[in-house]
Amino acid sequence: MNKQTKILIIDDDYNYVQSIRAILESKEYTVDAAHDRESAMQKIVEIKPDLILLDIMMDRLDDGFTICYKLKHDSELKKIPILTISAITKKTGFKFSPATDGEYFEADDYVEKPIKASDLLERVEKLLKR
Amino acid sequence: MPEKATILVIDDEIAMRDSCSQVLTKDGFRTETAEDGDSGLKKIRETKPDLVLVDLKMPGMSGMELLEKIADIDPNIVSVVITGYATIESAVEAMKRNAYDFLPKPFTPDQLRIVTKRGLERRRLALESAQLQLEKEKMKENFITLVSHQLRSPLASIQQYFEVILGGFAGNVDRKQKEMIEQASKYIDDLLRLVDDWLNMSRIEAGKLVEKFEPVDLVHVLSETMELLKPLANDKKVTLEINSHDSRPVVQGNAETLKQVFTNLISNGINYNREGGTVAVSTREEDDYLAVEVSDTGIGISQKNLPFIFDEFFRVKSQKTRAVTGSGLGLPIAKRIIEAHNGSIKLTSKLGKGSTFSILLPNAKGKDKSRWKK
Repeated sequence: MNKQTKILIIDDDYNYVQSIRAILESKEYTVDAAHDRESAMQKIVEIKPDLILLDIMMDRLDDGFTICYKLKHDSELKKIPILTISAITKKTGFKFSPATDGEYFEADDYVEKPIKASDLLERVEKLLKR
Repeated sequence: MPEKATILVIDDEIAMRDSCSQVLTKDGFRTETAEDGDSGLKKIRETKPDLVLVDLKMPGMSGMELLEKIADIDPNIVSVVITGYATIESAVEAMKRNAYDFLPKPFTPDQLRIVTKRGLERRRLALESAQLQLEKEKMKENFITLVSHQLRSPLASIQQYFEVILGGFAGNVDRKQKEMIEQASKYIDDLLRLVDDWLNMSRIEAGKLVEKFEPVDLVHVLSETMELLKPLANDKKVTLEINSHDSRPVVQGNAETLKQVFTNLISNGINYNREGGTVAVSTREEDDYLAVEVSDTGIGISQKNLPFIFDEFFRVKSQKTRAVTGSGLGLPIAKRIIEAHNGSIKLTSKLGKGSTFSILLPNAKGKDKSRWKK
C-alpha cells in the first residue's frame, strides 16, 4: 500500500539522494527527487507529494529555509509534512529545529545526516500518519 | 552617518544654546538644544545625535553624571564638554566618563567649528571600525558554517551509503564484506566527530560562551554526566565514584559546556583505565573557588608527555593507547572551556598508577561574584 505514497527528496547531493532512495524503496514508497530550489517548487506543485525530505544548504545557503517558508505559508501546500535532513548541525550557529525555532522554521521534524535506516523509516511513517 | 550630522547642545544658559546652534546650523548641521540633563537625555533618545556639547555646571543632573548616561546609551556618541570652570581635574574626570574633548568658555565660533569637526571625524572612524568588526565576526561565523558543511556533507553521504549496504538495501552482503564496511564506517564516524570537535573549538574561540552564563549546580552536572557514561564504564569494567562532601557548589557558567568538559575527562578516565579500576570525582569548596578533581587508576602519562597534554591534536602513542580512538581535541577543548569560565585546569600523573585532573572554578557564592558575571 506504500506504493501510493509519494515521497519527494530535495537535496543537491545526488549520491545522498540515491542512498536515501534505496532505503525508502525497500518499503515500496514511490520516490521522486529534485536537486535545486526551482525544480523542487515545480515538482511539489506537479506531483503533490505526501511527504518531503528537505536538505537545507543547496546552491544557496538558505534554499531549504526558503522552500520550507514558502510551503508553510501556502494554504494548500502547508499540509505536506516536511522532514529536514541536513549536514549542518546546530553547533554552527544556525540554530534551527522545530522544537527551538518553530516560529521561524516550521518544518515538522529535523534530523542530522547521516541517518540510520531504521530511524529514517520510523520518522517517515510517523509523519505520514498525521 | 547620514549626510547631515546632528549636534545636541545641552546648556542651562540660553545665550550659549542660541549662539552654538546659530554657528552650527549655519555650517549645515542639524542642531538640537536642551536646557538640562533630563531633557538632554530625552533628546538623545529621540534624535540620536552624532555629537553632544555638554555644559558641566547645570542645575539638576550634573554634567559628569550626564556624560556617564550618554555613554551608557551609546558609547559611540561623541561628547564634548563646554565649561566656564575648566580645571585639569574636571577635564580628567570628564575624559574618564568618555568625553572626547574639552572646550573652555568663552570660545570663538572657529574654536567651536574645529572641535566639532574633530569630534565628528572621531565618530565616523568609531562607527566604521564597529562596522568592520561586525563584518569580520560575521565572516568568521560564515566560514565556520561553510567549512563544517563542506566537510560533513561528503562524510555523511559515505556513511549513508554504508548504512544502505549494511542494511541490505542494496543486495546481499557476505560476512567478510560486512566486517570491512563496518570498520570503514567506524573511521567515518571518527572523522565526523573530529569535524564536530573542531567546530566546538572554533566556537569557544569566538568567545560567545560568556553570554550564556547562569548559575550552575555543579554536582547536578557531574551526576548527569556520570549517569550518561555509566554504560561505557560498565563496558570497560570501571567503577564510577562521586564525593561532593554534601555541599551544592554553584558556579557562574554554562552548564552545557561544563558537561562537555566533564564528559571528556571522565570518559578519558574510563578509556585509559584498567579492568576493575575506578574513576573518582570529588568537589570541594575553597574560599573563592570550587575545586573539582577527576582521578583515575589508569595507565597514567609519562613526565615526558605531560607538558603537551593540552596541545591541539596531541595524543600519547603507545601500545596501550592504540585501542582508544580520539581526535586529540578533547583536552584542549576542556581547557578552553574552563578558561572561558575564569578557571584553571591542570593534570598530575604517574605512569602506571593513574592521572588526576584538578579544576578550579570561581565560586558564584563568593564575596565578589559580580567580578565573574562580566
